[in-house]
Amino acid sequence: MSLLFLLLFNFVLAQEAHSAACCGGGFASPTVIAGDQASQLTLSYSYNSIAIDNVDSSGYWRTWDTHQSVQSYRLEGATILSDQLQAGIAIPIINRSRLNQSFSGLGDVSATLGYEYLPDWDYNPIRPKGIGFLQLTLPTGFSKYESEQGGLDSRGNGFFAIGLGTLLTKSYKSIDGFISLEAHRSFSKSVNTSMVTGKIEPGFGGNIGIGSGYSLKDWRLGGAITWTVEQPVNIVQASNTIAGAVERYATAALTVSLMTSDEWAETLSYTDQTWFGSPLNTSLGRGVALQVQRRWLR
Amino acid sequence: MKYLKLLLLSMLMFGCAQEKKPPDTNNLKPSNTTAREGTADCTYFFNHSRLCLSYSWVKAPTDTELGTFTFKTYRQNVLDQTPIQVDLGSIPDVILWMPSMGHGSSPVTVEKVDTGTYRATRVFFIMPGEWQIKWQVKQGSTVEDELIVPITI
Repeated sequence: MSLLFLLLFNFVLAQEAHSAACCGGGFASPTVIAGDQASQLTLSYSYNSIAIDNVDSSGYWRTWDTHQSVQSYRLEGATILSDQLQAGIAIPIINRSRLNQSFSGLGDVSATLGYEYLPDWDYNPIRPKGIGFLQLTLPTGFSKYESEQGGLDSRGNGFFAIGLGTLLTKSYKSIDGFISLEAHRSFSKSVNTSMVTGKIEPGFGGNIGIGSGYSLKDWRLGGAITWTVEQPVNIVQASNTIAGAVERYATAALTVSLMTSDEWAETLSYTDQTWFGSPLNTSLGRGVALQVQRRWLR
Repeated sequence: MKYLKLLLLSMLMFGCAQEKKPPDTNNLKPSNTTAREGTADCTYFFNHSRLCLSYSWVKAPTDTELGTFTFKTYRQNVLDQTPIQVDLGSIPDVILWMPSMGHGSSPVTVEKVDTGTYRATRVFFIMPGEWQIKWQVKQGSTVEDELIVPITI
């Protein structure tokens, strides 16, 4: 039971780091109960600093001495609606700063509907537990495409988006693991700034995540990698079209979790986007996060 | 071939990231600017009017400081193609745009100094990389004429 619970932490933290380090890109992570609890409430704080300011279309890494940093607070709640059906919501508050400039506000709010299509009621030794989820992201975060500050004031993707995904988990003795797959479609929106006037046309994107952990009494050490790719975002104006470029990066996460009681748990994590993958058209960050979760048992 | 593609894909995904150092192509060095005082380097042309433009850094921006450049616009003499300084239809907007990342930078301030001579101040690139400097002559929100110069920071 505690294994499954802590496994959820691993999943949440790995997913939380989906967003690109710079300029508010990325896709909100799903809020899914992966364990056996009836409800959960999670508060997390993360601090990320950009390590590589820009990876261009040719894969060249460029960095300066001064970087953006991003702090985020994220409140997530999820509850079961029936034995197999669940729903969740995530509300992030983002602060982005560089030198003496700082911008804060609401990020992209997301709601998730999950269904446990592969229950593990009989603790099958081979078959994993599978949860499918549908996620709706609201464009409450200001996007970098609307920004007049080079994305410094952006707080999310800023698009209405629908995502579909699955989380497969399995534990054996003290070892656990998960695989997550997610694909999403973002929808176009109009923009009118001093730089662009027209319609922003995003496309599909997706994430693949794998992770594993080892539990020892109330402690768990975990690791995960999530690969993220986003199709080019084009800006269609009356006079021309500004073509975007595909964005990709991988986020590695190391986590230490402590279950202080059946109802409370804390997780500390370190994420790094410079370790894996073949990044393109993005910034790469490193960060730490602290997460506290209250759960209610079934 | 199919297995090769799978192998390449898996290497892309699971391989460790390797920093790829860029060639030294910083266009903010004075030798890389397109104009020197008293000359007209007609390398760049506006799309519609075919006026040409040259620009020169007065103060190159850094990662912490704003920069300034001047630019001049010319038409070519119909007799011998020598450049003659002329005004644009209106003071153009100067936009710093990073196409690969899909965002611009903070707004640039432009003022007219003399006939066909302008000064752009508060020039700041928020990160290194491949940028564009866009000169846009607008009528309301409609772009009537445009010139784009790529620049690597």
